[in-house]
Amino acid sequence: MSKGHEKEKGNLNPDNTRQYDADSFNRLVLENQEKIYSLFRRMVASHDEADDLTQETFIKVYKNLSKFRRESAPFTWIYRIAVNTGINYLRRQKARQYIGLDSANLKSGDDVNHNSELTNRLLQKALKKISPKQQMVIILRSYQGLPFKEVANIMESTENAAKVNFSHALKSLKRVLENMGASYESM
Amino acid sequence: MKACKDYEDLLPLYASGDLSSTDYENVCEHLKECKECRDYQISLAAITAVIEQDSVEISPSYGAELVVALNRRLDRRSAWQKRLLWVVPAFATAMAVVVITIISLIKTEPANNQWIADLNQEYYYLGFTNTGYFGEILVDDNIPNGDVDLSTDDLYRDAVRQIVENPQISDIDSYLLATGNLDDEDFKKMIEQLKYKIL
Repeated sequence: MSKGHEKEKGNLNPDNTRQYDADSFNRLVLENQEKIYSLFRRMVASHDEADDLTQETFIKVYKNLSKFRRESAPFTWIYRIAVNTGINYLRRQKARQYIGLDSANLKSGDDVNHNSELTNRLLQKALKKISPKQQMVIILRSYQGLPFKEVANIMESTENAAKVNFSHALKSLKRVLENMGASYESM
Repeated sequence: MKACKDYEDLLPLYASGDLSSTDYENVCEHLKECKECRDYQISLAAITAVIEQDSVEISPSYGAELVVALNRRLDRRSAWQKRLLWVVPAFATAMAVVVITIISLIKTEPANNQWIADLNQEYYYLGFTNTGYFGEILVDDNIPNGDVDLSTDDLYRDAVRQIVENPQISDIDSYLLATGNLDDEDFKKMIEQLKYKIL
């Protein structure tokens, strides 16, 4: 692989991570920001929170560049940092008895896509009620569309364990939605 | 709404399209026969469909804004680190100065009977006879003639006066005991006799 191509891909070569310059870091941010922001945006109620978590993730990435051993792709490594940041955040929030979108957020509005927005919000609210790890596996697999092999790499588990975790997560989500009185006909 | 125990864990993966071909065929066969699992499957499919349709809107400028915000934070961090580069050594130096000052202040406090030690380092010292504790004051033979104006008698008196007048004399003088092989009691007796004899 030519040097130019490596640079273009924003590769993190373990031999030169110490000299990893600002331009390369910025490129790395630009290449991954959308996926990382989307991950957090599914998880939290506001843009500001998602933005804070995205920034926190990339600051950790920057601080740990020298520790990156290239045992996985940079994308997987960044995702792993994001997932851990997200899980820790959700645990802290749960400890503070935080409940995401409350019913006041579900008031009817003049939005044309009112029904689908309501469903999405209901789903988001239900998502917050399952465990942080289960939330993550649903976000990674269903919202982000990552294959289970990648989900397993990010969550540092086997592919089989990731599938089992996903299966349990989806069942939990279904149970929570039913407890919230969701009807599948409206979906 | 409940699914059959054997299929409960497979149905979510069926809904997301993640089953192996063998499991997929088994589930399809089962769904034809089992209404409960079919209903369960419909609800899971409805959930995954909503999830898959949902998209996050990101402002086109978000990436650039994020890069700016991150660089600003990293610059602030590196400014702090640079500041720490001189703040830490400066603080350490200041602390070292304080510690050295305190130590030197403590050291300038007159040590117990330090002046007796000083006597020995100057021109006269306390000597002791072989017969016991009774001490006599001797002039250092190594002092070149002419360096000291005082006569030997004056030196004796001066030295003994210093011993007697110093209130710390009653304390055990480790220096004197070490050099003179006197214990505390012997030392006190010696001083009393010196007082009587000289003054």
